[in-house]
Amino acid sequence: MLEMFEMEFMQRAWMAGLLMAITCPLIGSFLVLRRQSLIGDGLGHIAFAGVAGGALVGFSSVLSAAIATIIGALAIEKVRTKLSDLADMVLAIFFYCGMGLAVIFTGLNKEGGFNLSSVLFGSLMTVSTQDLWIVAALALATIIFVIIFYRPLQYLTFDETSAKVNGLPVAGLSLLLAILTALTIALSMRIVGLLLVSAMMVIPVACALQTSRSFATTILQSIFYGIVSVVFGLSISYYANLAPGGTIVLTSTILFVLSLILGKSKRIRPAPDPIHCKVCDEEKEETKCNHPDFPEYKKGHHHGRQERDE
Amino acid sequence: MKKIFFLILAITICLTGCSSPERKAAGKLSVVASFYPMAEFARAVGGDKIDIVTLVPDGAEPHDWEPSPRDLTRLGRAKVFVYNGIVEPWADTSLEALKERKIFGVEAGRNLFLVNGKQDPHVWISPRKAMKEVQAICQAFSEVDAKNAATYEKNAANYLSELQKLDTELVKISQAAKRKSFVTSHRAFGHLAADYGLTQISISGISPESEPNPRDLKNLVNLVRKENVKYIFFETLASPKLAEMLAKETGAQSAVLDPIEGLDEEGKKAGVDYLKIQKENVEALRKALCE
Repeated sequence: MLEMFEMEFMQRAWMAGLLMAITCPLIGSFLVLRRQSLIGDGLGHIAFAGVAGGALVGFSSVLSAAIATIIGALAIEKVRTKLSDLADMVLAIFFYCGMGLAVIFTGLNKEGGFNLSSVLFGSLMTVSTQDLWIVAALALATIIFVIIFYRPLQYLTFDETSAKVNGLPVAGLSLLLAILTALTIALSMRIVGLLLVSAMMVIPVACALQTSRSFATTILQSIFYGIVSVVFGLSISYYANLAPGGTIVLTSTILFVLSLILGKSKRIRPAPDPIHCKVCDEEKEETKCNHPDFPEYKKGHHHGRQERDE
Repeated sequence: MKKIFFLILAITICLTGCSSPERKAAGKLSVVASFYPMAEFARAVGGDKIDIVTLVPDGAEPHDWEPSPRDLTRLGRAKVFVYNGIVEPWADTSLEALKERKIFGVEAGRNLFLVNGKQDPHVWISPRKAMKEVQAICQAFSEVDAKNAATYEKNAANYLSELQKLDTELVKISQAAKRKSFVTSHRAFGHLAADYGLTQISISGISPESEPNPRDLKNLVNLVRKENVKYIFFETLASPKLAEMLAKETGAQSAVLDPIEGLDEEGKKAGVDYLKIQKENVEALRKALCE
């Protein structure tokens, strides 16, 4: 048997890592295409504030992180629907707000008792059996959620406006997705670290977007890339004596570069935002107006996005 | 997609090909020690009946060190883990991560840490408390490996008599001392001072990194002059700058007092060990206190 699997703690680290490689890209596929790639970071820092605040009042860190992220996710969702074309700005504001709160709570806490680097990077080596059950339950919940709501979620992801017009419960589904994202981050952060959770939500999906043609294959391939990153990342971490979170994230980044070079040119991506031509004073679906005197263009209002081949 | 798949497959084959598990000596009690003095005590008790690995490399601060997955695997293969306590904040989490392995953890300094109402981890520096640590290690080895218990007890008795000599020397120094205070660069000699009726004045705090502020330094200079201290001690692993500055300021000499947290390369080549360093420490204290 390989030396790497000899000890139970490494077996648990492997299980936790592989489960993360399923859960994170699964949720991430929807988030990335909805241009919410940074939500992992935004919610993570709110969770951080939750942990710090929980430590201050002597509350369980898992519970306080979960409560903080769910409130944060609902608030982000609320503001996002109001300022739909500035989704990244909204995330940035929540990100800073979380950091600000966390700094204040940590400063107020004279006794210490919680460790910043353990929140950011987790500790894959000290995953307990109970942690494994939590991560497994999370993976199961995510898989069931995606299978049941696959069609409406797909519609919602590519064209929120017409999904709404067609009578889909867009607000409800968005909230469910937001809550699931929040729970994934709050529960996994302590185990594998914020860096790993938020990166695994984005980078494997980015790889899959380069090599797949349909949404379904994007999801499946992103899980494949996630698993490959964990397998290589953990092996390299063990034999080269490096931090596991870092090696997993870097492996997936290398996979992304490879997929960029070797991937097919045909791929799905969100349609570009429609533009507003000042010259003809009308909305255009294209990124450029054909008007001969087209001097500049700016973003028009949001028309939604659709699946299309380039 | 296919190209990427084959590339990944190829790398996987390369990676799984290059792993070789370590071999260990058969029939011996496998012991892992946290850092140098613990390894030295365990070796003294175990002799050739044990196979010992030290986790913290020489020259590294045991407090800042963290075990890697490979270190944990090495620890997982052992039957007994000898550690001091407090100095290794990672010891308990490591044992927790390896709980299925049922490793016998020996916190050698347990119940010895309290000195002058404060927790101080540096118990191994005082020969009197080192003797208690050796006894704890001997007891643990005898419990885990009962058939060699007689050997362990004999080895421990030999080592304890060496420590006893150091203890007697220190008691003599304490009785003959012209002054009871000695100045050190970091507060590592609290147990030694307390056990032999001496007073330690330290330039910085418990941790070697913390710098004293100018006012503290001024008070220290006055104190050193008042107590008529002849030697300012600094240790081998930390920077001697402050101690030398203080020595110059007060006209005292600077000298080495080693807290024995690890051996340096030179020391290892010269065959230095715990007892030899302690003998030098005793001589240094004799000079500083009795001359």
